[in-house]
Amino acid sequence: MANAKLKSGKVSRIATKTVTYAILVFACLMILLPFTIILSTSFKTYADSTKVPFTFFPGYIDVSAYGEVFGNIAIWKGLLNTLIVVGPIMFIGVFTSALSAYAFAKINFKWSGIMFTVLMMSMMLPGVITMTPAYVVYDMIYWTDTYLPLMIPQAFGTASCVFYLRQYFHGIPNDMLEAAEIDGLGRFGCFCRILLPLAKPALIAQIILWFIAGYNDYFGPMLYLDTERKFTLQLVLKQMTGSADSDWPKIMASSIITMLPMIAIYFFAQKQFIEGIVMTGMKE
Amino acid sequence: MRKEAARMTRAKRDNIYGTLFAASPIIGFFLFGLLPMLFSVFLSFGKLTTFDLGDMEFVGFENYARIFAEDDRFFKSIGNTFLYAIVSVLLSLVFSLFLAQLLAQEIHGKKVFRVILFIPYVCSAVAISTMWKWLLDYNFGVLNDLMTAFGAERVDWLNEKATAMPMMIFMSVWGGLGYNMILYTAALTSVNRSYYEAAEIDGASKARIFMSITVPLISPTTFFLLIMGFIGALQSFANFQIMTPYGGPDDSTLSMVLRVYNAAFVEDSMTYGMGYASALGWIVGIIVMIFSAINFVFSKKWVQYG
Repeated sequence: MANAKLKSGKVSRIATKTVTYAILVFACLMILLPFTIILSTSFKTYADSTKVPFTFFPGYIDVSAYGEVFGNIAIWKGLLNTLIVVGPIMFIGVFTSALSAYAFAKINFKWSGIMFTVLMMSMMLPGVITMTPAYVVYDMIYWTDTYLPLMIPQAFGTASCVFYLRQYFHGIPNDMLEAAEIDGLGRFGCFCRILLPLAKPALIAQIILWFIAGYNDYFGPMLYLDTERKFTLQLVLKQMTGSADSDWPKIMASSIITMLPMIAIYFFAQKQFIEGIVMTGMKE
Repeated sequence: MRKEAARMTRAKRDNIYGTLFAASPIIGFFLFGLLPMLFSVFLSFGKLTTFDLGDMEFVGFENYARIFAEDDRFFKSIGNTFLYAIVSVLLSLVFSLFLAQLLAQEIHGKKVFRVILFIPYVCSAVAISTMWKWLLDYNFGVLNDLMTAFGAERVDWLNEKATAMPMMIFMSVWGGLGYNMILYTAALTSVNRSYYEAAEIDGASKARIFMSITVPLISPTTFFLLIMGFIGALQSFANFQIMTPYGGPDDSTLSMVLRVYNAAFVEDSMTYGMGYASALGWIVGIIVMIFSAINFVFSKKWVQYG
């Protein structure tokens, strides 16, 4: 009797597990399928790419689309431009954010409360309000069609980065900092020599998130850049897809090539990435 | 006495260093957020057909009056955006909670599933939109292959009124699943096990446990994802602009921000221009800020459980 009950319980458990796996595999397939389809297209000849119905495996692998993309100077120039725009600023921005977070987490100062509230308010300001006036102002000071509007505001640090790092700094014991102060390190010295090295994982997580956001950014570069040789990678990709005679394998190969570095970074830095998202997502 | 003085100077020093260190992002916000915002109020009362402020002509409330009197496209874009935001955020939450709940069970390969579901999140809007444009292409798209395989007619997905917005919603749900699922997973793992154990001892069914314990306990996360997702969706731009730059068939995929952008930079500046666009921007901004304010007021309650 008891044995039979145990057995039926086991059977139903196995059934639930199977259904669970089936649903999860199906969900993953739904996510991956679009990518695999464009992957397939990218390895076809142009003639085959427009053949209907679609075939997954045309029976050959044609890498000429990739050859063309890698031989396309515009793509490389775009990548270089992206790195120029994002590269230095992500370090500066994370540094200024960290300095601010340090003050909020570890220094007891008069304006702390009100300054933090102002920072919280800054996250509520919708970008759509500042879109037009910022453009007019940047145009007035000759910043349009330069990288400055994409770099300078970011260099001051961002509120979300401050929140995340402040949270992390809270977890670093005060006595370590106090001991360093007794040894004669000033506030800034404490920050640079003690806090930053201790907070390395958090800083790396923020730099990664910053890089991915900057690399993927479309709105800013699209709004401010006009000259083609200044285009970032995303703008170059956008321009390729917009051309009238669409060479689908080439377009798909470029899309895949632009996506791959981010997917690779995500694979290797999953832990920091997920933690960064959960922490900034949930606060406190 | 001397000790007292030393403490005083230390407090003073802390005030100076603290303010100095903390200031940078706040100065950035004043310069690049608040100042343009105030300037935007000024612009919205003017007619400006170039980007040169010297050409501005003060017109008072004319821009706002015109918007409310005749800008049907703008009001259509508000409706579109709310439809998009409500449906895509709700669907995304339901699916991601379902998946997070499945992943919370003791199964193998959790990590692999999570990694895969999250991939769209790290891909750029341009690349993802390009991909979907190809899949939804009228002549060569895979989706239409499927349609014809089942004996149905081809559909011009992004150029037909009935299908354009549903496709935008579908793409948004597809892309946002991973993010919501990760935050739900974090919330589910923080639920105290003993609640479940107690309920199991009492003989509650799985569905009952889920509805009466899990859902209420993770409600702070649900609220957070709901409101943040909604605020984000209300400001959607890149996906709409790339898929349907001019607002799609009969403006059915014209989002609020796309309408503002087009008025400012794409459409005839003699009819609209920067002043008019600033007025539009303010209306959209106020709509968004209402939801931010709701979030601000209720955000203190997120932490309650956990």
